[in-house]
Amino acid sequence: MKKMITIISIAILLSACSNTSAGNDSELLVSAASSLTEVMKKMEEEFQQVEPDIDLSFNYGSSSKLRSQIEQGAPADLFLSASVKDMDLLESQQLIESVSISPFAENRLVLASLEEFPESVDFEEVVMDAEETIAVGEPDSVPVGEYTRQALESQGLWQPLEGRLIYAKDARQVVTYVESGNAGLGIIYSSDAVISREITAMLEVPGQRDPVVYPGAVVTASENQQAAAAFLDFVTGPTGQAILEDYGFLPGDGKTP
Amino acid sequence: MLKVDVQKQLDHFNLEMEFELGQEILALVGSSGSGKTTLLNCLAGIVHPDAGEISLNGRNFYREGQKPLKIQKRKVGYLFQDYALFPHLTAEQNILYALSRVADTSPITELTKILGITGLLAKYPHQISGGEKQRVALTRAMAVQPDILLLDEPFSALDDANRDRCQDELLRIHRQWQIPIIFVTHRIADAEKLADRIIRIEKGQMTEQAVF
Amino acid sequence: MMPYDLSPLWLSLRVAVISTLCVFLVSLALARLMNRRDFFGKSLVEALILLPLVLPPTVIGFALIVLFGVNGPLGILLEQWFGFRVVFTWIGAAIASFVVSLPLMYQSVLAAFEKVDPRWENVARTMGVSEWRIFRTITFPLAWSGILAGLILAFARGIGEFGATLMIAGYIPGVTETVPLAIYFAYEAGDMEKALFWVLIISSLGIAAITWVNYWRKKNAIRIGRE
Repeated sequence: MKKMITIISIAILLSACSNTSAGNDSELLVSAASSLTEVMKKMEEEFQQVEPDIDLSFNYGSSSKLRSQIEQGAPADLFLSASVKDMDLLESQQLIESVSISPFAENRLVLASLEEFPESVDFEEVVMDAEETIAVGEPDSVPVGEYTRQALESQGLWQPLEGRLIYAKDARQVVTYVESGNAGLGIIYSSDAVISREITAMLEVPGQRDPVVYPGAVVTASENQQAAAAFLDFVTGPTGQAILEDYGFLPGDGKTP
Repeated sequence: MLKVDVQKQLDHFNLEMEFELGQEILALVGSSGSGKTTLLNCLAGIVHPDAGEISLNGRNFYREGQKPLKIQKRKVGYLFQDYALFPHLTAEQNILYALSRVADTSPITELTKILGITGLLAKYPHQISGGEKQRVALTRAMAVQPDILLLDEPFSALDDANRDRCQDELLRIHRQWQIPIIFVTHRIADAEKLADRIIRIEKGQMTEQAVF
Repeated sequence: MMPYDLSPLWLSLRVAVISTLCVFLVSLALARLMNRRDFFGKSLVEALILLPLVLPPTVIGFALIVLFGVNGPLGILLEQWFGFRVVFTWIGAAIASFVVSLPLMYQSVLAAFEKVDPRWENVARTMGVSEWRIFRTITFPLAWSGILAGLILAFARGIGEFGATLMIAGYIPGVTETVPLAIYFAYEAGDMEKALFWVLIISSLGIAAITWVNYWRKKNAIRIGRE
């Protein structure tokens, strides 16, 4: 019995602690696709100028991981996804505010390397001739991997490259694999290639049907929806779009896809 | 001829031994912890003295400042106080352990008969009694035909009949091989029956006793 | 159960068998050295061997990447001398397994050696038997049951290694996809059935190993007995 009381009081204590930290109204928790890591630093800086009362904190990961975190009730106010599919899945479960969904950026896939590609080679030659390991996103759980598989499959290149493709757990890791030199080639977002200091060579990946669209939306369970909407507005607004462009993203078309 | 002149610092006293031994049987007596086993270990090469020298038949076992002779090269037969039989080998495998496959084992067979252990050769150490282990270990120490025999309490676990048999056999082997034998005992009767000489050790200091 | 590609199982077994074999030889040599000799820096060497026990796998993975990466000192050396790569290959997985299971095996072997009464070795020495033969016929057989327990531990740890493996060997399906990686990525992709399949496989392997060791030890205890 004594034990029981101890356990219960510890549980109460712990929940009290977590309540105090979650109760901070001005803190906005943004779940953002890992490919947004760099641009969001700048975004936060600029946003502070406009809305100094809203404190931003970010949780980066692959969009599908963030999606499943939201499904499991993890705290998040705003979801910035690198895939329409994950956003749709959340929408169908009414876990995000449908009206708030707005695409804020687009991206493309490029083949990246630390060494310049020879002039006048095409994509297929580079990937088939090289003996290097090629880093890609995990195709079943990471959007950049899913897009990569779609593109390569449409060119009939997915099967022949099997065994040379190393799967990364999110878009950032693909970049890390290439930047460290441990993977000779990697298929990454052009935005990541643009901001990378080490990556010097880029080659457009053929067979991309549609551009990669980044949708953002306010999370239904958020107690801070106003602030979340404000930040999303900022991202889709002129200042946000200009920053995204600086970081190698294409502007979103602003409408629900 | 065994020449011993050693000093070794032990926990509570200094072991100082100086004696020469021909092809005789020497009994070491004295209360436990007085340094008897340490002396045997020094002779066998398991521990080394701090100073002095040990030699057998002109071969240097130990001399201060020199590298001591390896245990393997000393050709000592050593019966440990608690026998130290290899637990994973049978009595027979224990006895024949160091012998090459082509070696003539007939003297050993003879020995096992005399000591009455023929019947337990196939048994493992944990299957036989303390007295039987002692005789197996004694046979093992003699099987390698050593230049000197060191026996630490060799008869302690034996009943009277077996003790007599073992002691008679030891005397016979001594006559036959003509090697120095040193044995540790706490029974004055054993010492007086077997030994040509008796040395008493107390707190590391030795005194030679007269044998009557 | 659905038929899955069994290559992760074969890869895991290959990685664990090879790393355990190396761990076996290295820890025998190390334990013998540590048991016998005193030298300057001995406790430092011992601490280094045991370090992976207390470090998070990510630290080990990080260290391995830094050492064996394409631009790491050992990585460059191996590529120039032997022409093979460690990063993103199954060899990387084997090295990760080796590092994490070495301390387990080392501790078991050391304990097993320490349990072998030095009198047995000494009595064999007085009989003129060489050190190597003493090791083969006395020390090793008497330490064997402890060594075997260490082997099973090392094997189990090796086959279960995940964190450092993911960092150094990465996830290349069919090439560096060990069972723990297969479980992780199946779960990540929401394929619970596949994850469960591998969880069951690896669990039954573990149960079989433990059962066998217990049985073997009992049998062995009866045969050797105690003096």
